Amino acid sequence: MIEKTSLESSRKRNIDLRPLVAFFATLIAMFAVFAINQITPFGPRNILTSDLGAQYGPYLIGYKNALKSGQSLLYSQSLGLGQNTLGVFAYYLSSPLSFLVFLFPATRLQESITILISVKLAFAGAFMTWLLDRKFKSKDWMSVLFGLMYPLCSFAIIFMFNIMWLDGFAILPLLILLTEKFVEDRRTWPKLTLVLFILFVSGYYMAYMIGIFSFLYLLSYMWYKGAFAKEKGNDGAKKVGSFILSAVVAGMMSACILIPAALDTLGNGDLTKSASMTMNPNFKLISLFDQFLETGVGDLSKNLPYIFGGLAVLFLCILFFFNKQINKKLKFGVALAFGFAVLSFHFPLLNLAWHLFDTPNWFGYRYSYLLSFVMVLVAFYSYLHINGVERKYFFLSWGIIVGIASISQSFGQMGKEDSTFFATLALSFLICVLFYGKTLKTWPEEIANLKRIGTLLLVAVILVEIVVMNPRCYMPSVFSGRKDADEYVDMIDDLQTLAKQEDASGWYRSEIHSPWHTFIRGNTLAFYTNKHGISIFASMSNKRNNHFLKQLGYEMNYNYFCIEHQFSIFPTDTLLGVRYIISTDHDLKDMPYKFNVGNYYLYENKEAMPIAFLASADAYSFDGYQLEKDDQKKDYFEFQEKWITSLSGVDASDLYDTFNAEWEVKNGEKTDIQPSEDITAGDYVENELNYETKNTKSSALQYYLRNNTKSPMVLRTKIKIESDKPLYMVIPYLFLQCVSEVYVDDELVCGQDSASYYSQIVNLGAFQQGREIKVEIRTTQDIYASFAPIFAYCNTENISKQTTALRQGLDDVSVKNGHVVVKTTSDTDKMLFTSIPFEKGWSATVDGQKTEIVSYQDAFVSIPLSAGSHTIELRFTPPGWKPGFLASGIGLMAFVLLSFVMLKKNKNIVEAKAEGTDTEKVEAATQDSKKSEEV
Amino acid sequence: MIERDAIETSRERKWNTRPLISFFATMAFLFMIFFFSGISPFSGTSGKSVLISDLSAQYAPFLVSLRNSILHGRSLTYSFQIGMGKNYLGIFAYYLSSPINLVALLFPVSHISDAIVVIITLKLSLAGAFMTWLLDKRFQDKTKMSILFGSIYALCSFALVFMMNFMWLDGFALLPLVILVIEQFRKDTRQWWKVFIVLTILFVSGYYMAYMVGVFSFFYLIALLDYEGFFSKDRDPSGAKVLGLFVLAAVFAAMVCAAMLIPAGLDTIYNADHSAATTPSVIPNFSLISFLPQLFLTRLTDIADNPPFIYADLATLFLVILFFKNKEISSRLKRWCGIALGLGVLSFMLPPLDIAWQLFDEPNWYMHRYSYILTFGMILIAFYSYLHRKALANRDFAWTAGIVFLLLVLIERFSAQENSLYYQTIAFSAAILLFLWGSTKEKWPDAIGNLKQIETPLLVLILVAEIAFLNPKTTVGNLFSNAQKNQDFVTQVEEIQGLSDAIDRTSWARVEQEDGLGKNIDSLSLAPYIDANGISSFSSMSNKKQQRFLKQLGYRVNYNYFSAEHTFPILPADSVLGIRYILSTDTDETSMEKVASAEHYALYQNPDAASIAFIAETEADLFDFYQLEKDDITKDYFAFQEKWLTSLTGKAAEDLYTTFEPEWELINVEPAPCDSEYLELDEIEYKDAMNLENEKSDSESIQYYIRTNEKAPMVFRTNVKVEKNSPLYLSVPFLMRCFPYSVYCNGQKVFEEEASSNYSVIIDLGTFEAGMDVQIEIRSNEDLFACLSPRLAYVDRAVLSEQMNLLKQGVTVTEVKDGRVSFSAETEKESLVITTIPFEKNWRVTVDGKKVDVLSYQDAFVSFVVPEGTHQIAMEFSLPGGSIGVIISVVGLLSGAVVALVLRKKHTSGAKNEKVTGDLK
Repeated sequence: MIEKTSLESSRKRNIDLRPLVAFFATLIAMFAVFAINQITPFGPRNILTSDLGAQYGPYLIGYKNALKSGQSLLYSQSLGLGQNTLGVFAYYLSSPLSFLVFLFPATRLQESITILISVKLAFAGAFMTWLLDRKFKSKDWMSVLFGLMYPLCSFAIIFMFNIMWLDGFAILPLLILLTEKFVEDRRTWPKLTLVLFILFVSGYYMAYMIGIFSFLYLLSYMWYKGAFAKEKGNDGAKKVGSFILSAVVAGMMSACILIPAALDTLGNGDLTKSASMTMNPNFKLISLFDQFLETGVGDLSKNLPYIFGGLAVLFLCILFFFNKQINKKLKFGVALAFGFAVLSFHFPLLNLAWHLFDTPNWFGYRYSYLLSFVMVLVAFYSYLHINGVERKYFFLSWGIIVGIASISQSFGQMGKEDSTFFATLALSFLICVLFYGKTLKTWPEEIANLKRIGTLLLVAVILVEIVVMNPRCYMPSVFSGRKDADEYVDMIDDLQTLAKQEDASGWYRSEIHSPWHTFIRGNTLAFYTNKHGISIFASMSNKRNNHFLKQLGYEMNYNYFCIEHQFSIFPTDTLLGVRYIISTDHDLKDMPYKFNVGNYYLYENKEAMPIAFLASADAYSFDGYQLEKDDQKKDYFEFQEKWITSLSGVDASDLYDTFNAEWEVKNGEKTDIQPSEDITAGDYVENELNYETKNTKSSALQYYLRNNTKSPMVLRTKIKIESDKPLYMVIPYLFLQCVSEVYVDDELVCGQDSASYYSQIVNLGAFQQGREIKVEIRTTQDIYASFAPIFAYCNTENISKQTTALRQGLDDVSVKNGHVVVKTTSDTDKMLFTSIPFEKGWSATVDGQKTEIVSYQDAFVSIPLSAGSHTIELRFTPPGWKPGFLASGIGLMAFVLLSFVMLKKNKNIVEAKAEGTDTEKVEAATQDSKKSEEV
Repeated sequence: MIERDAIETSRERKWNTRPLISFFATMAFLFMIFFFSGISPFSGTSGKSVLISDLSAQYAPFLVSLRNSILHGRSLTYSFQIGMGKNYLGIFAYYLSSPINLVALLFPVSHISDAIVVIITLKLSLAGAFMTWLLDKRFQDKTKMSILFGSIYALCSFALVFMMNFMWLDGFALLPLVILVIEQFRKDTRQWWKVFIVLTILFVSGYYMAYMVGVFSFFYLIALLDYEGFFSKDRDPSGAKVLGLFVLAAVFAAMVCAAMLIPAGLDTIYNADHSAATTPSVIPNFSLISFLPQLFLTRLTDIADNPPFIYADLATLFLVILFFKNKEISSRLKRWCGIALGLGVLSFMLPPLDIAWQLFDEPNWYMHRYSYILTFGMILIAFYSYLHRKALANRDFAWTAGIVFLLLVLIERFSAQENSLYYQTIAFSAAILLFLWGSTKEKWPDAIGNLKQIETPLLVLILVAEIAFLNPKTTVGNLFSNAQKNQDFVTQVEEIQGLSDAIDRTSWARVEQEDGLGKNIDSLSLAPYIDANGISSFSSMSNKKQQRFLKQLGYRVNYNYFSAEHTFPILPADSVLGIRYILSTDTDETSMEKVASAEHYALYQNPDAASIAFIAETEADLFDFYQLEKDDITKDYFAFQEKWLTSLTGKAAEDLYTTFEPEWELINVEPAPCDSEYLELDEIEYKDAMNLENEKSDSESIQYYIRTNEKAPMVFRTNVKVEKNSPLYLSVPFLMRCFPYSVYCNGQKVFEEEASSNYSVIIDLGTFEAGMDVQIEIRSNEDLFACLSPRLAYVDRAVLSEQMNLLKQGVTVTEVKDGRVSFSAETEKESLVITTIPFEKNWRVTVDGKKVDVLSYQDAFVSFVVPEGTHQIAMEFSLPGGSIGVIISVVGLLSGAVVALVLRKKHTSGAKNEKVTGDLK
């Protein structure tokens, strides 16, 4: 009935205000959520949590800087040592809404991200409301509330910091709306294609999941509507074909971004060998019960699917199945969809398929919001038909929620220090009673007058739940709770002031020494100060280049996604062109102090080399990976000396004075018997690039067994300082690090709380000659194993001998993003070494002649040069850039052409059917509505 | 309808003997239970004593002290047998006020365990009788099964487990009676007097349970009134009126008890717990699944942190489930009962509700003390369900069997329930259900048709086997497993009583013990058994400030100051506090003068002990008595006592102890390699509003140790070459509370702390011959251990005597009675008289007949200033709130009587009018 009347009046109501209202309501709700949880700018908490702080936020700043600088946008020297930007752009930044961030200065990054998230989710709310309005042809203003439930579901609240996922999340309802329209009327094909195009451009990762979902949705919707029935001939198949065509055309139109991005991403694929697919369920089915309710967020690295959309949604979804007004076919379809969703979560193969066949190693079940989406649809339909439910089923449904809560409280998350149990019981009861109240003509005499505000009460209760309670439950564990938003602003300000003291002319790199904050880690400085560095954290990082940097003792993670410049390592920094170091350490002795702002100190390494220089021609024969094959000593310092010698041809063995120490063991025992257990979890990791053989029972490994688990095991040594040069230390591990911390005189110098990094060189600082210092390695592992730790004084002044040699013959170097020109003169054959990471897309000319680039150590761009003067020009063009543009052009043409065809063709059909079908349509609409498929 | 019929026939049935039968049946069952549990006096000479847990440490000695006071005609308002002396009313009202406790007067002290068995039996038998009475009257049915259901209540798991808390049993027993009179009163307000009297008895017998029973009966009345439509319009009497009258009855009943409750309340408030209570969270107390086993028979595991005990028996459970399947029973009643049961479970789970039920005082031991109320409700429902069982269909029984089986499977899978119970439960369930089902049939199958006649006896037999044998065996089997043989206890008491005859009672003295005399006469409970005064005590209304004083001296005081124990003689402190006699199991102690000895014990005398008061320097009060709590560097308990004595006598006492810190050899332990912040210390934050210690203080002197191998204790060992032939003491100072540890001397354990609930203590290692080698070990089974440097000390007896002689000068005690002390004091200058009577409000002191200001010496003892010269001093304690309490009691009693009379009269006329109109109609 509702539908019929609404159909009739739909002509008059041309403008449906509800989506607009939903947009602003969501915006306000999000602001409230941020305010309640004290997130900046509404409170002192920093929004830059997790990867948002380590990756997305800084990238946005980098993107803005690149646009402003007028250099090539296709290559960036701020991504590690330099890299093709398209992979990062397409995955993290391509959303048109990212431009919002550009309206703010870099120091206001947090606020801009808060607004960006709010706007994206507001679109999600508006589109959802729009979908509900159109799909169910209802006039009920409750669609605004249901629209709100979608952007406030647990997935959105917990994962909102993954800002690049939110575009797909927001577009999903719009796409489903157009998919349904398309089934009814082919003329909407251009709209559908355009929305798909926007979806692809805004983030191909989510677009993939949504694309699959919408396709499944289309099939089930058509099935439910009987579009595949015999009498319809191959109409159904044609429609499905047109839908696919739409996706293909949209994909082609976005090819100019997607093809180069894909080539970049595939070219830098993860080389970690993933374990073969298992058939073991992902989790115990019973733990899924937690997910239906509001429960605390545990570990985001191993989370279960987030599907909770509020108790009202859950309640109505249960009620749906008890509703007599709803036909069995629909119930069956919905049940199938729910079942399939659970199967997707549970069954590894399906789960992986949803994730673009790439196992996420954090933030699992990235598609789980699809189920929340379907549940909101089902809930709204259930709400529209709520009068078809008998009284007893209301209370039975509540009983089912109590049952779920009891199971969760007995076996799941709610049992583990979760205070939501009683709140869930009470709120769900209120919601149950208020929904039941809506079905009554009159309320009992005592409260009869309250009936008028029944709906208002219901809305209030639901709003309290989804805006106040649920986010209150999730957010504190996701947004760490640090109240350092202002501190962050000050820090960016100071860093930018400091960066202005750096030499504006010429090319160089700047890095940090000894990180001082979780939100400006070793890999984000370059973006904040608009400089170049060497660190990076991205899934499409240049793995091979990083593999080489690992040999130099920089902090590298197991799959080479992430390199951090934690400490100044003077010799290698010099060669890689790191001229400036920013640190909170006011006493760094590696290089001269230049300037400071507040607690931040700037140091300048005048010896730092340019991006390219001439090295010995026989440097190619140096084995850059000998450390990985060494299972006796693994001397990182000796390796650096040899490497630099091989480049300069000048003996560099005086760079380091190395020595070992005697270690006293506290709370543990040293043993030379290899323990039967694995030493770190990382031992399971295999990587194509690595030469280490983990199963070698190296006789040189020293094992330590901890005695008492309540206290760390401590390896302690006392060192009588013999030189006031910087003292470095490396603990060489056979493979990945053991969890450990290094203390000097009881001060923490370096801590590693996970075993996902390789050995690194730690800069302990410089000490007065004659002094005795205490160095401790503390570990909370029960078994600890490494080669003998090596200490080294770094003779910084000896580097100039090397740099002088290396600078010989270098006449001029000019550097832009993706374009380098070098002029050289030499009387012998040389190798032009560049600290540009080797990747496809670089081309070179020597004296105007196209020349083959040689990949030095599988890591850097290099060119062998003959004796004489040369002008070398290096230029970067992203692979797939041209074919991408071509494909986009073809796609655009196809779009125009096909749009024309679709519009025309359908016009005929519509005209032909126009007369007799009105009643049919109404019937379909009445019966209709919800179909929901898949997740 | 049932009710009306019953009313008509009620004239004929004048004497309902079922409650009486129930009384004796319950008694017989209890005797069986005691017999099977091997409890004295039912198991001959090998019978065990019931004195376990708090019964041994608190209730039994309190009962003895009550017996002493009554039989010796002493004051009931003050007792020197509780700790160092205290207001008696708090203890009396909480532990002892039940009239049934007077049974203890009939037994000799040595047979206090038997007396308590009798008290428990009487109270539970009354519970059974009242329950039967309630069932008979409530449901107006003549079935004799009400007897069995009465016993089921009295023998439910709550009663079985907690019977040792015998002061709770009065409320437990009175609950059915309260409900019974409420039932009668709701229809006929003339019965108000009954409510008034029963509530008065309830309050008198123990206010703690009375509160819970009162709250419950109030809810019960509201539910009942609503269910029966009393709140509908034009109902007479209106629900509001009935409720109002009930509240009035409760208020008047409470007023009648005011003479006891007000002083008790004041005493309890004055001596409140100072430990910082955490605000109740809303995190459930337990997971729902872990509650399921409580529906069934479970084995008692942890009595400290126990789940709610609600199990009565299987028949009750089945009948409650069947109740909800019964078509004859209105769905309104089912809903009410469903809500009530749900609220019961919610109360257990939701911490704020849980605390509200327990007088807003979170118990730190014996949780959910009101859980029997749910059992009571279940039995009522079960009995009703039993009466209506004929309406049940076969499938209802199948359902019930299915539900029960499902529950059992869940329990078996998810809880730590033992398998043996699983099968036992299944077997009993099957039998009981079968018989219940059989009892709904008119006829049984031919093959067993004749058995139908003995169906009820068989059912009763099974249920009796369950409640009198199986349940107790399972539930309380472990409870008494470590109990002492009663005969041993009797011998012990008689022996120490014999020894105590050697005490010179002509002059006042305190008697304490050394090293735990026996299992049931532990260091907390000696004084009442020998009718003497001591310093140890354990009660929730202990004098916290005075206990804190004892803590500074190295006596064993627990974290919230509920208990203080004299575990070892600490001669200097003992002497000042007037401990002249020490009873010890060590019959060869050489450091003190032996006065008498028996087979197992010896009585020693400390000639240096001061009397109840002494004259000290006027500046003595300026001494910082709590300096140890602020000291996180050395915390030297010995030096502290020297300084203290100096402050009292004015003569330097630094030679009193010869203190030294030996080198400790570490075995299976090493110093922690880093600061405490890196250690995984369990999150314990000790807070107490009185303490000056701060657990968080990061003292540089605290040494953390880690154990090397967790299968063996860590050991700190030292060998001491004895230099003096005088007592050797050891002090292991902790920052605040102790870590669990034990002390060994030459391989013999001399002391043990099993938990971290006490503060640091001084341990008397013994007296050794000079030149002898003594090996001392501190052992701990903890993985982490932290303390300040342990130190040893010899006491110099000569210095002590010299100091004490100074202190003892000038005081001649003439009389010490409970609450009344008089002595003469002679002094050459204005001095401070310090008594070792704990400071409390309402001590009145006169010097030569003139009232003087009473001071509190170190926040702990009564003291006052006397001018120079010789003076007669009289001290007297009057009960705070005593007189106002008596006045309120009288007013309450009179008001109650007036209201009762008015209501009777008014309603008699009302009833007459009704009858007349009825006839006219």
